Amino acid sequence: MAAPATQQIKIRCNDEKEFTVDRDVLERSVLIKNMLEDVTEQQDAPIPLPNVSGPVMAKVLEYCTHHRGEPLPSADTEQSQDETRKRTTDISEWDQKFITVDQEMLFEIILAANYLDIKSLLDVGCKTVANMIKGKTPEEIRKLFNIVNDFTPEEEAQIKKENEWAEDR
Amino acid sequence: MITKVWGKGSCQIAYPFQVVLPLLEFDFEFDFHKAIQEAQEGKINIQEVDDTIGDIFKHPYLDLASLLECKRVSHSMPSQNEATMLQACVEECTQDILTLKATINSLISNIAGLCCDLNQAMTQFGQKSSRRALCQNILSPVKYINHDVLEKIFLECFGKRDSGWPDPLEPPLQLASVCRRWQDIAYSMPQLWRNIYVNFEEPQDFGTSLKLATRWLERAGTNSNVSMILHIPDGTAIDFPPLADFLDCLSTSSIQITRLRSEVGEDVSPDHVSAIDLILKDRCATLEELKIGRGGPLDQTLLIEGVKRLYLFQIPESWLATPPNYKHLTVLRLVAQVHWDVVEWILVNCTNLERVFVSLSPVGAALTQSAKFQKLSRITIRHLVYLGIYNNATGFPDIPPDFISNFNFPSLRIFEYCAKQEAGASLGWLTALGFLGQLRRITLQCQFEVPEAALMQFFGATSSVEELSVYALRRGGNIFSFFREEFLSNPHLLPRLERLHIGHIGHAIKGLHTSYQKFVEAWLPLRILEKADSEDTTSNLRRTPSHLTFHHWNQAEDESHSELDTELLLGTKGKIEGFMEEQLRPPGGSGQPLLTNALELRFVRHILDLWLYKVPILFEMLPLSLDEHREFEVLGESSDSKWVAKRGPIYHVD
Repeated sequence: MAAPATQQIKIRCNDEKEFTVDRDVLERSVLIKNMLEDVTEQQDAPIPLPNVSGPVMAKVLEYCTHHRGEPLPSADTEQSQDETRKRTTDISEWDQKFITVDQEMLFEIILAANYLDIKSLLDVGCKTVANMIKGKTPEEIRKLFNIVNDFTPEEEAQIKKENEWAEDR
Repeated sequence: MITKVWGKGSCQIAYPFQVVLPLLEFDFEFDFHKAIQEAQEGKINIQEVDDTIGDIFKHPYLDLASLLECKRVSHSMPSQNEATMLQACVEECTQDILTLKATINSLISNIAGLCCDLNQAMTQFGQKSSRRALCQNILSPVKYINHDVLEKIFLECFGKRDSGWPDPLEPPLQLASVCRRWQDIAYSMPQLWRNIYVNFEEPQDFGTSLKLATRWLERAGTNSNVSMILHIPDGTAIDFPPLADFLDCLSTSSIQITRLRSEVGEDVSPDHVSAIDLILKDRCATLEELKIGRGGPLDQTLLIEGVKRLYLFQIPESWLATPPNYKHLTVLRLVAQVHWDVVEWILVNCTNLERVFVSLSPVGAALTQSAKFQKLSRITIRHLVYLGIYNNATGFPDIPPDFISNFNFPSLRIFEYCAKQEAGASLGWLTALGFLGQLRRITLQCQFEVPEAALMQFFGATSSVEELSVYALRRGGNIFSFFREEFLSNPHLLPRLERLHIGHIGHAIKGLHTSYQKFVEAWLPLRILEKADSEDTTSNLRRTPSHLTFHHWNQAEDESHSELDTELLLGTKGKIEGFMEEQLRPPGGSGQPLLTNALELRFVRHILDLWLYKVPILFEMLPLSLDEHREFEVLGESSDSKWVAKRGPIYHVD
């Protein structure tokens, strides 16, 4: 039997930071939702979340609180969306404001969303990164994300050749 | 300090340095200014300034440089003084050379040391940079994004690209050029490589182009919906070894091709489209969209909106012998020289077709009947919604008359038909009557006069039509005879018509202006009818079309200029649009439109917009009273704005 919406759940992050959150907010995370469903008796011990730090969890909870009550995407709709929906990098105004954070936090949120299985937040994060990548040269992307160019000269030459082919179309 | 020295009748400037001459020890720092001034004032005689200076003044050369310059080109022996100067110079130079040699040696040694230091610094710089980059890379949060999430990001980057040319600054090439990890992930995502483009334009690049296209095809794998564009320009010779590799690769993976678009050059012969031929024959079982055209303009501009050019190339005869068999094909656009047989074959074999556009050209003799299906029972093409048939030459074979009896199109709603012959008499025209009753949108283009009886028969069969476009091509096409007042006011003709577009193309059609005017006069009262009609929903009266468009293309000799000269758009809730020829009427003598010739229009429920583009004719032509309208917008080009600019609050001039 589903617990009442007002039930408070405790979670503990990897930096020992604890949050007490309404269950319906936490259930935006499919991971936590499944964990809660697996627990038959009420427990006072906080749910450990070893892959998420306190500051990141605070951001994630901000997102979940804002979107509480919205329907969660089912596996079926997800699949059909992936198949038929035209992907768009549009992000709602609130989400855009929410995700305007430094790069480290952005990727932490993405990782957390992925770990906690919050699809809509993962979407927002991925779209934000996609928007950052849009229109940039590979070198600019490397600089943006501190990525090392580890191609061998031969691989570089091959890439150059392919790019030239594309340019000469 | 600069000291002036006189000598040999000219003034030279020497700088204060110590000149050492064997006979003359002369300090140029001597203050000549003062001496000269004193000499001029008669205080001293310049010759008395110094005996040594006096010697210099007598000497033809003031310095070694002058001596060297003079003697360099002279064959006379130097004087004793000169020889002494030169000898002194030799000795001085020898001394200096020795000193400089030592200096140079010392500097070379220093440079070697510096180079060594520089190399060391550069090496350290490189090491530190690499280490910093490595540390930054290790610290970089993107490094810890797992494969799945990165794939998701790549898909977001890729967006909705269904086709289009590859671009190094766009995914997938952009993503695959960042680093090895990103490249590996990008290569492992078939959906990123589904848009394949092969350009046969430059023969010297065939090999590379095909090799790379083959590579893309491999990356696309077996699970993607591949969209392929083949660009085959004029004069392409396709019998090129790399093509075989490409086709081999295609043969193993082309079963996933869903969209194939081929841009074929104007003069490409059937033999040169073997690639398409091969692809189409049996390698595109999943094909959903097939568009084949060519890249050159025909000698005709067609009037269908958005289709100003048609492209044509010859379809190989082999296509006729082996018709395609595409079960998944939903969209077919075939602009080619194609026999009607092929169209029928396609319709029969592609049972999921939803949209078909074919442009017919003369191939073979005229058909009197549909040869291939005369003995078959009627074939139902269940999903076909749109059928466009274009006949592109005068007097060549048309749709066989039994086309309709052979085929059944239960879902067909949109029909476009262009006949470059007398429309009412053409077989295709009459054939179309067979399914007109179910159509919602019809576009007709005809050549020459159209017999009114044929037209009435045509309209009599189109009771469901909501949008009708009738265009007369050039060379005397005239459709106004159809749209006479009797026709317009006949409530039983076209009762569901919402949009009507009529148009002409040609240089000068006699009486066109009058035709337009008459038409508008006949048309506008129907608006009143609309109001009455709206109160009685059960009325069998026609609905007045909300969109009425006139098109008149004044086709210039150069095809590229066959654009609209002028446009008039008169809008209500819907729109009445008119495209007028500029030369129809000159601007009013006073430069102001005449607005007094009023027939009251009852557009009181709507806002009336009037856009004028270089059309100083409208107000005279339209029997309307602007005072009746609450808002009236006139958009004129700057050259014309002066005559529409001032008309009280009902005008807004842009």
